[in-house]
Order: sequence, then structure tokens, then C-alpha cells
Amino acid sequence: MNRALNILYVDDEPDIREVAAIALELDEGISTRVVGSGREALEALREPGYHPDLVMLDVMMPQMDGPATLAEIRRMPGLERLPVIFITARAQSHELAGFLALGAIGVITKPFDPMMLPVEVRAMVVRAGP
Amino acid sequence: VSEFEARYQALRNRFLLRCAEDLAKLEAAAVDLTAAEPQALRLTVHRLAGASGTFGFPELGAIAGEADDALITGPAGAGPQIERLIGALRETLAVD
Repeated sequence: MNRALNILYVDDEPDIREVAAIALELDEGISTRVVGSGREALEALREPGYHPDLVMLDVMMPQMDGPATLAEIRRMPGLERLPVIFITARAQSHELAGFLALGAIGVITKPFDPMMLPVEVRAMVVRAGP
Repeated sequence: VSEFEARYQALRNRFLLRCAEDLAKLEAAAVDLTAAEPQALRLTVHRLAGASGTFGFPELGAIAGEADDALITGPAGAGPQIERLIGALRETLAVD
């Protein structure tokens, strides 16, 4: 089994976050919690005892988008270096560079291939290092 | 993987039900795009752009992506792209 990887997946689109969760868990080492907004993600991260290894953030969400959520995460004590991957349906190269500049370890573009999603995520985590 | 397939199919079916709802929303908005609520319309189209390919409808996703791009500057100028998306949704729902 691969190294255990506990992921918080944040997307306002229920179909996508659920398919992402079942796809990620094709990798037996991955456990996934899904939430539907940036605000819910921040609430989850404030829960005592909840320490995900990685947050996957949809870029375009109502109220609080992915970049705004990441900015809030970075302000939370102890989460300054928590790895984050953005998920986006908009994937022009200058936008990808912008997302990485915000401190994400990677960007996954939608539509994603469910069977490849855990592989892509693992590769990004390995590239980001310990 | 078989358990994954079963759950994926259930989610795909639910996605198609939501496509029918989205079609109704887009048809209503297309009557007068200048009166459409820009953010709600953009979210509907953006969702289709992001999700369609994952559920096996890459062409629908591409057409939704074009509409999504057109909506950046607002609904008023996105009429042709929205009409094309409406057609693609009708076709997808008729076939599947």
C-alpha cells in the first residue's frame, strides 16, 4: 500500500467532488473528506484533531473562491506550509503559473480522468517533497 | 474497480439529471440574456465545462468551455455560444 495520504477535497460541485472522492480512494492509501465551500474547508481545518496532509481546492466557487480560501489557510497557525493543489476548469498557461505562484504544489485541470486522478495527485505530492 | 464503476454510473446519472435542470435554466436565460443574472449563469456554464468531460461528454464540455469564455465579458455578448450549448445539452440528453 502507498503511504497514507489524508486529503481534504473542496468543490462546490457535488457531482465532481463525489466522483473525485471515489476516484482518489482507488488508491488504498488515500482517505478523502469532501466539503462544498471554502468556508466549510476552513471550519474543517479548525477542528481539533483534523490534520489533512493535502487540500485540493476548486478555483471557481461562489462566495469564497479557491485562491481566497488558500489565503485564509495560510493565515491559520501551523498551516503556513500545508500542501494545496488547485483544481480548475480554466487552464491557460498564464493562469496556471499564477496559481502556482500563490503557493500551490500543483494544478489539476477539469475535466480530469477519474482513473488517473490518484496517480496525478501522488506525483504532485512526491514532486513537492516532504 | 467494479464498486467504483457502480458508484461512478450513479453519479453520472445524477449529473445527467442536473444537465436537464441546467438546460431549463439556460433556455430561460436565453430568452433575454441582457436580463440574465451574470454570476448564476456563469456558475451553471462553468460547472458544465468542468464536469462534462469527467462524466464522458468531452464535446459538451468543450462547448460549455467556449460559452464560459464568452461569459467573462458578460451574458449580453454570449448569445451564440449559449445557443450552441443549449443545442449540445438537448442532443446529449436525447442520446443518453
